[in-house]
Amino acid sequence: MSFTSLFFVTVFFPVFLVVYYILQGMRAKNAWLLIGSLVFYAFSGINCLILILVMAAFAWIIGRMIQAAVDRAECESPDHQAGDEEFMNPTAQDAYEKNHKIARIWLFLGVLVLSAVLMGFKYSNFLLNEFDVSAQDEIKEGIIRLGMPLGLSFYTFKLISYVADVYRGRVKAGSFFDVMLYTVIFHQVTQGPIVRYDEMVSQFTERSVSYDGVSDGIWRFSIGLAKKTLMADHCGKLADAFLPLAGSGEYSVFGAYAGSLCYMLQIYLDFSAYSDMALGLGQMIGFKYPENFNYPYVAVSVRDFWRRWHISLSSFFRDYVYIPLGGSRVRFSRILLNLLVVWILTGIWHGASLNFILWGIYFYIFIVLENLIKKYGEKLKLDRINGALSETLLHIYTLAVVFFGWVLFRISDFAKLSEVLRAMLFRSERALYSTSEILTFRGNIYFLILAVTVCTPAWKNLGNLLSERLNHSFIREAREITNLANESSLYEQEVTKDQVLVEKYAQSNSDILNEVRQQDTENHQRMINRLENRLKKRKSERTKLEIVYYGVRMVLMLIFLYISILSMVGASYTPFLYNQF
Amino acid sequence: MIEENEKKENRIGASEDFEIIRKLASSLNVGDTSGAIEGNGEGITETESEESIVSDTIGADAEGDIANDSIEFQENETIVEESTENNAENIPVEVFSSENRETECKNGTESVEHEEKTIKSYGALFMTGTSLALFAGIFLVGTFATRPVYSESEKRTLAKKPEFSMIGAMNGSYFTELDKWFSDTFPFKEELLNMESKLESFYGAGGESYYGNKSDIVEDTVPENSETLAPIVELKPREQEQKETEDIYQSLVETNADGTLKVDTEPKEKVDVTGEQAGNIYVSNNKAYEIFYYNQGGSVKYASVLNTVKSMLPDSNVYDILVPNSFGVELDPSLQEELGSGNMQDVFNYIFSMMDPNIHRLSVFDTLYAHRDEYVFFNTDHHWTGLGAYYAYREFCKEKGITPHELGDFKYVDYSGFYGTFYFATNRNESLKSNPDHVEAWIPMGTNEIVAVDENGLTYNANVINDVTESNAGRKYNCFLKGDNAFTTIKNPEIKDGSSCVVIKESYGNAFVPFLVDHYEDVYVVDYRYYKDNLTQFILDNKIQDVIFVNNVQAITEKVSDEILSIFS
Repeated sequence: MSFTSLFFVTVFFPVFLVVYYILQGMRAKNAWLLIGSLVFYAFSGINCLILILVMAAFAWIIGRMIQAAVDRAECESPDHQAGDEEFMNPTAQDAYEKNHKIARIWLFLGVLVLSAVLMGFKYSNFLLNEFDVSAQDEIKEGIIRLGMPLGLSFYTFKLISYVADVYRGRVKAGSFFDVMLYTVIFHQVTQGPIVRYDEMVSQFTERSVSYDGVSDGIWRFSIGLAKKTLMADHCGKLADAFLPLAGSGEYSVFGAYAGSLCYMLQIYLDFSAYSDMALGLGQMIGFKYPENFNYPYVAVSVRDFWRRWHISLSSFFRDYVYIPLGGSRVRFSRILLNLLVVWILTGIWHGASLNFILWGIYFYIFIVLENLIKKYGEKLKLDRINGALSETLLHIYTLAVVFFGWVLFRISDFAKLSEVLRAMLFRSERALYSTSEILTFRGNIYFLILAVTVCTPAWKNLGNLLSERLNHSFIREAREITNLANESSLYEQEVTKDQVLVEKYAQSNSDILNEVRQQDTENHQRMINRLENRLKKRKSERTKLEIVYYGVRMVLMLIFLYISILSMVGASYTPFLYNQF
Repeated sequence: MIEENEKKENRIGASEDFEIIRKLASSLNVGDTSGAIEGNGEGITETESEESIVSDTIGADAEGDIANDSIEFQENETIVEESTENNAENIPVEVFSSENRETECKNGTESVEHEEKTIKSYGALFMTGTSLALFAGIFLVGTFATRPVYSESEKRTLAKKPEFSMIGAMNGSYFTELDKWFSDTFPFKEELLNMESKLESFYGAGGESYYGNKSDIVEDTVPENSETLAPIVELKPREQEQKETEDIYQSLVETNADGTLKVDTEPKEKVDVTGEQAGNIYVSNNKAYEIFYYNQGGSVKYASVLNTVKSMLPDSNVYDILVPNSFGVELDPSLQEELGSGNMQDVFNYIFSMMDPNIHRLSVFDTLYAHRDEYVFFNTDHHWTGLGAYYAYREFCKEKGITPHELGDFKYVDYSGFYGTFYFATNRNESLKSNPDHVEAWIPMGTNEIVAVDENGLTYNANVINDVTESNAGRKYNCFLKGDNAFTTIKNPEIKDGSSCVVIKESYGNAFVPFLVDHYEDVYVVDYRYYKDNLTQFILDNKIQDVIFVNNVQAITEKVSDEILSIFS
């Protein structure tokens, strides 16, 4: 099942949510979440479901084993914990090291098996094709039919991070239920984000649902849905129209650029929409997942881009590959090597084709260049360039690098790739543009402009502006309420103070006392009136703002959901054959 | 006096306190310029510092978040620590600054935070409630509303609910099918699709638009008139022929795959229906045109098929009527050239130049071009109208040497509300929607009865001109001959001279045949896509005099020519 299938939106999701809210108690809710996730995943086939369960069970066992070994090590050598390694007795030292070695063996075994399964599914077909191993066609057919289990790349990485975290002592090995739920939770199972186990397991027991959370979650979900069904899918269609990959489709220089641009938009909108939906779904039932995208197309350097693009994957490679290899605390040449490993792995992870490795190396080159400039840049006195200008230039440079990166990413056929690149560099005999392309472009110009703005934080900033104003009006109203309360207590203090003064200076002069009191009361009344009026004003201001804020949000949400359903129905639309030719 | 003084003192004290309250009030209300109270310097600075601290913390938070989430190969982790330290530092600063204030003020800020939660806000609650109700509504509609079974716009039966099978559940195909069925037959599908296309009309500017449905276009340049005739094809045994066509379909399936190594489980029935997929469509001035791309191989092949037929049937008159489409006739030649191939006329002349001169060759391009301001082509459909076919019929009569009937001789019928293939292929283009077609037809004088054999071999009775008032908007062209049948017989009881003709056609011929009825005793209509018998034998057995090909310009491809040839062997 996919988030953007009608079955998910109209049946699975409402039923799941209602039952979830009805159920009481965290255990019941978690159990329902697990059941829902299993049903969700079962839609990709029971075979795949069995595979994911076996993988999770395997990781659970490995986690237990590592934990046992680590526990034994610490239990048998309490000195070590106290930081007195140097004074440990030799037997304890040996036992400690032995147990740690065992833990390391388990870790190695776990990571090896998990990645072997991933490699097996992902690359066997590629290897068979690429190196033409004279395998029987039956085997080949079988492998093709087996296909790629849904979300395998994502949940394998989650499990690897889990066993590694147990080994490093970041988390304790979890219960079978927890590991299972962590793996198959339907928000993340198909397309990430790759959330760490410790972030998840704490929320299995402690999370709360509030109206704010639910409404924010639904809002986020509907944004994601519209982004995917309305924008990304249409961008994909345009990309194919401008620069068709299949067949001997014709395209011009303009078409090559426009098609690649549409693909660039599509890939961001598509993927970030999935993340939006996952985050929203989580938020609706009280989960907080880290952001996976942070407007990558506004980056000012390639490094910056990768800090904003698919954050959970890049931080995975940082924490489980780059840092274990020595991080940045090693010689520069070693850093270059470490980075190369990371980028080749990043490339391989994205797909089973040579162009993905090339794509990884492509980014590696730019990352290294930027590191070199950073290292020796001060000598070049780059700071002298005007700030705004250099930022714009850097932005353009980043976008250009990313743009050609996606060209590389999209086209897996090398002959086609070089053909397209030649066309883009005006080194082919293709026409500059064709009428049909211009017509298509003009027919989608508003759509494309909208799609580009969606890639920038402009809309989010607008939303933040509104919500900040609302918050501000809340604070102002609260202050008025406080002032009102303070006024009453001040008045009481005043009255007692007056009494004391009167008693002190004028013995039993009730007239003066009365007069003073009357004065006080009048002042108090005036003050109260003034404050109440102000409160009333604040309150109406706040209510108005609130109505506007939630009104706009709700209307937009309705529109988003509505047009998403329209697009989803439209997606089943197949251009028909001319059966009446 | 003393009393008075005391009173004054008290008053002063009171007013001083009052002042303080006022100051407090003003200092708490930043930006309240309308208030009559003047904020003193102290109050303002305090609030400013408070605010700046708040924003500082937010800033630090944001930085921390980014550093947390991002891949920071160089300064990993250190930034995170720093930012958390910053956070920790900020807290005491805040406490320190608020110590400067009077106690009331401090109480105030504390209770502000407290009160903030107690202000009842129903916004989020309301939004949650509405959206949950909305999803409940979607659920009810999606689950219980009646589902459509047939799609008019796509002219196909919609997906069926799959049967549960263990194997299907294991490999997931059952669920895929279920998902497909669910979305394919979603309640109110047609209405939703209509609205979606309305939405898409906002995507861009310009009255013209282009719809690409076919990506692998081959466009050849039209050569000068050929010196030599196209070769006569040696007929192969039937079985081999079929095998070859099957291979074509096989390759179609493969090229359709988009490189994801997905095994195509689509049933092959769809591919079985010959004819091209909806081609590339150009829409301008509320009218759609299918773009024509010249195909050299197809042209030669088509001519050679005609030559082959003529060589097999030397005693019959072979007529070949090539019908241009609206793209070639109605659009400006330079625009045609920009979009695809222009000069359809040259194409026809070139093809005819390769044909045996004994074949009666009729290019109705000039005829239709002369009448292009009339309603000879539909706006939303790729066919010609009955009127267009009538002009071609007059041309045919001239070639055959008979007198054509005038339009006034026939009984005229008109069926409105026709939306053709272009309309649906352009995903219900808005400008086409505003320009629906109507089907004009002229009922033959001799008879209105036909006996048709459909593609499945079933025989049934129908009319030459059928009443399509009740038909769905997309099927009104079926008015002529009840659509495409494999084999149709029309017997005119008023003619007893034994004259007969066979028309070999695709759907363009349907509009043409009604005018022939009053000139032959027997008119046989063969749709080469569905006909399965040996037509040569049939023609020889029945001693048919006239063999008339009515072909549309889009049919001139090697594949179609092969198909035409296959019914003669």
